Amino acid sequence: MVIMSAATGGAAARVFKAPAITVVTTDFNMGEVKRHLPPLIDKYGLDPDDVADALASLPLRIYRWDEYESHLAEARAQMEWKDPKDVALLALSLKLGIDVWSQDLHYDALAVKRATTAIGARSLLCVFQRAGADALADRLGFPGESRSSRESVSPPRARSDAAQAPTARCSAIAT
Amino acid sequence: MVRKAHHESMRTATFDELGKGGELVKQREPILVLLQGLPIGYFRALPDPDESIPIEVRRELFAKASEKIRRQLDEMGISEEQIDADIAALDHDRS
Repeated sequence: MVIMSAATGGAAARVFKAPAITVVTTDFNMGEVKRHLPPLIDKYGLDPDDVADALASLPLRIYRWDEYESHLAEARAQMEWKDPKDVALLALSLKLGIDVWSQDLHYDALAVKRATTAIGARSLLCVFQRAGADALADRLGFPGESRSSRESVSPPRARSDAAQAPTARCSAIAT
Repeated sequence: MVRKAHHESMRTATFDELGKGGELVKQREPILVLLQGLPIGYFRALPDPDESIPIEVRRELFAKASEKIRRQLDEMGISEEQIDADIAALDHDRS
């Protein structure tokens, strides 16, 4: 639900604004976000147009079902008994080999690592970089990024380096 | 059936057409909604991120959009923590 937090002024917005982190998610999770947003928009009296603008501009890559289908069986085996709604994201995490950014405890004790917004943007950057996601995310490609941007990707750094280099790029998967 | 309104660039649809859903409610552009030929409002679907826009440009647009929302929430005294707690409650209900 970090995407919902980002779209409605929660703490996750600060992470999405950080140039060092590229976030990806699944079409299923994006659908869940849109399904659950209206009550929040109503509760806070937000302008739906403003929230729509935030959603449309989210620096986020969405993977379609057929792009993570190859890992669905493994994800189902690990997650379906805990929560079937978390299967798609786990499948994408397994496929890309990068961390899950989620407040959801269901991802704990699995083959993937989980980071939470609570540790802050800089710490998230360190976590995601330590996972060595740069090269993999770059190989998979992110539509809309310029070639010069791709060429400027730094190799994964040690945690201490990452804290000193907030402009390096890395990746995370958001719920 | 989605039509262009006379003298306007905004698309139009009847209330009944919109109620049927389908591709119509996935339109990125707002749609002027008509009931018995008269405009009663407009409909804008909650969009997916527009991946045709370069990610760095989207990051700048998102910063502006989210800061506008944040300012409104600040005026209402609603903190990031409160929003995240409400979302966590939603997430709990979803499980």
